[in-house]
Amino acid sequence: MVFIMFWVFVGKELKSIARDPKIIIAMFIVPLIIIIVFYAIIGYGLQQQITQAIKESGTVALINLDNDLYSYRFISFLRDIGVEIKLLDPMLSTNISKALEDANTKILYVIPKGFSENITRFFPTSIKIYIKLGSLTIGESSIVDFATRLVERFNDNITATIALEKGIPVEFIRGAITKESYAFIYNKIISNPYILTTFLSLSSFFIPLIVLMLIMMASQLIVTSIAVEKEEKMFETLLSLPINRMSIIGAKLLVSILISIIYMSIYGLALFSYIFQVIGIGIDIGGMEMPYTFSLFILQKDLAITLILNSIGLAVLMLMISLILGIFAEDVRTAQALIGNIIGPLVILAYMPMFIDISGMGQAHRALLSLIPIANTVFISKLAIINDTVAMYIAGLSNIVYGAILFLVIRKIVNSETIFTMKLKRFKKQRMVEI
Amino acid sequence: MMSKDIVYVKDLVKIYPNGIKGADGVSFNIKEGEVFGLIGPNGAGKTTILRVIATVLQPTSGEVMVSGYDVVKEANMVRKIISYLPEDAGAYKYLTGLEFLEFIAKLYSHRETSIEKIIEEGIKISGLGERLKEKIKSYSKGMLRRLLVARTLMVNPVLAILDEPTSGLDVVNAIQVRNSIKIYAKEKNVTVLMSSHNMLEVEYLCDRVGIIYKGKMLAIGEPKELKESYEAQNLEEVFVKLIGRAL
Repeated sequence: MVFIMFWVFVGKELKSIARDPKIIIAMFIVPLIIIIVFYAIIGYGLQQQITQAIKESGTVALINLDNDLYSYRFISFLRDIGVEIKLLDPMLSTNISKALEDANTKILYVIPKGFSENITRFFPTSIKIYIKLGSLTIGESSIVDFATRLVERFNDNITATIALEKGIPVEFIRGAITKESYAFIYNKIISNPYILTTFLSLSSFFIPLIVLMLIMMASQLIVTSIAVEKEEKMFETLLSLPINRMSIIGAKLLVSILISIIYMSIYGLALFSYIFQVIGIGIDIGGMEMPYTFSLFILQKDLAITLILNSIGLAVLMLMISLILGIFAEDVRTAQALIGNIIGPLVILAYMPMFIDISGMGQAHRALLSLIPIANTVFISKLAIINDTVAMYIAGLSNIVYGAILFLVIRKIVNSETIFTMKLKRFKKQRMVEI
Repeated sequence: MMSKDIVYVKDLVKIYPNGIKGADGVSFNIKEGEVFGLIGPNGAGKTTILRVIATVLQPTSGEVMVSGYDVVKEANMVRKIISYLPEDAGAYKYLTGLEFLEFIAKLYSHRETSIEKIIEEGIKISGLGERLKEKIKSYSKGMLRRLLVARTLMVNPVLAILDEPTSGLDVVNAIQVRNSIKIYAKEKNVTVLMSSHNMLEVEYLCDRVGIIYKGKMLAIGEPKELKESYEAQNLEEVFVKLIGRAL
């Protein structure tokens, strides 16, 4: 019977939310607009600009003050790779602005006098690159990159040619000394530590962000959902209905979590993939390195277990905090202000681990840090690296314990008149103020 | 034949956390099928008493039973047999009137046939007709109150608790609500406990009244008896005389 009433209430919640224009707009229409604008339009626009920039880069202007072997080789090199060249009057080297105007190109190379002689004598030399910027768009930044790379490629070409002429291996000229880096962490040797540090840095930033977005969403929904009962003046009625009060709470929790998961799945992942695409950040770990690095984590059973436990516990804890705030809030505005004022600062805890070095700490200190909710979610991966299983399990279980304690407190409040008198007390205070 | 007591209140005291006394040793009982009115000025304690009986608040001391169930120890059983309409009640504005009635009906019954009958009863009591298919947010105050009275009475409770059922309504809607209460109470033999400021309404609807002032029950009786005892033209005069004595 309790089960049936629970689902009756879930049905009512879903109907109300689906028909509430404020929620539809805030949760679906606005994010949809943001995604369409950023992902489709701006992404498309970016694509167009880069295409246009590449097209414009296909023709370059060149002032050759050297007129010798290697400057001619540079010109041939450019032509061989399909770049069209407009050779300009050397007199224009003193008036670059006019040179670019006359040439009507985005890129101008000026090869100085003595260029070839320097190379012949093995002295470093340079080519001046002038880029005409107009619209200051992202597309134009790729032109700068393109112009620079052409010179770099010619440099590689020349050094390889000279090396061959002298009988020196090209690989030696390009990089006489290479590096092989390893990280040694608690009896484990990990090659290419850059991969690990990159992963840790990104996970320290993005994992908390994703988790917290989900929790903030659910918290907002649950707190608003309870406050709405008061605003719609159904709260007192609900307390007298033949429905288990915890079923009401459970139904609101379920609906809030469901909607948050849907929201995060659709929009959170789409948004993050856009961010990664635009910024160009990726974990460049190469084909061989990835299995080894990640195997440290995947094969670490303790890490997987404790992360799952911790995440569940964190979600439970944050939702319980939101529930308590919702019960005390008089209306939706107060509820949302409470969430912002209390949950918001808690977010800071998620970034604590970025700045704390746990490797030098004693076990007792690490255990204490593992007790800090929210922060311990990010600590777990660091604890796994230093192999502190005890602290990992403390971190894994502590959030669940906190959530369970709060749940018991909430159950006591909900099943007593406190759930009503807390509201009533404030109401009476307001009435006295009005008199 | 002696009617059994549906409501039994003995020495009810309710003190709020801030020290205010909502009820101060109140005792009364209500017989099956009776319409009992609680009357008194603002802040007298009427709503407090109704809330205790409706299991929204818990008594500080005293005994309160509804159909033999203790409102504290057996609150869940009490909630199954009562239906409570607060003075300041609302409804879910994004549901239609019909959906709202269906939602309430499903909380009181789980059999399809019973649910349908309850909803039909709700439609009849509300008198809102086709407007029930519209969202509640489009309803006027009077329509909303009629819907709420309907949802309170349609479940055929053992005890219906109505706090100022016609509060804020115009004459037409107030008459409609009063008639619904009267007809339903008599037809279905539902016991009704209501509070009101409107003495005419109380005299029209109630079989017996209890006069409350500053948390204390000053008098209980049939309106006619009270007027005769206190040589008053109406219940207002009875009230004024009782307060004079209380002071």
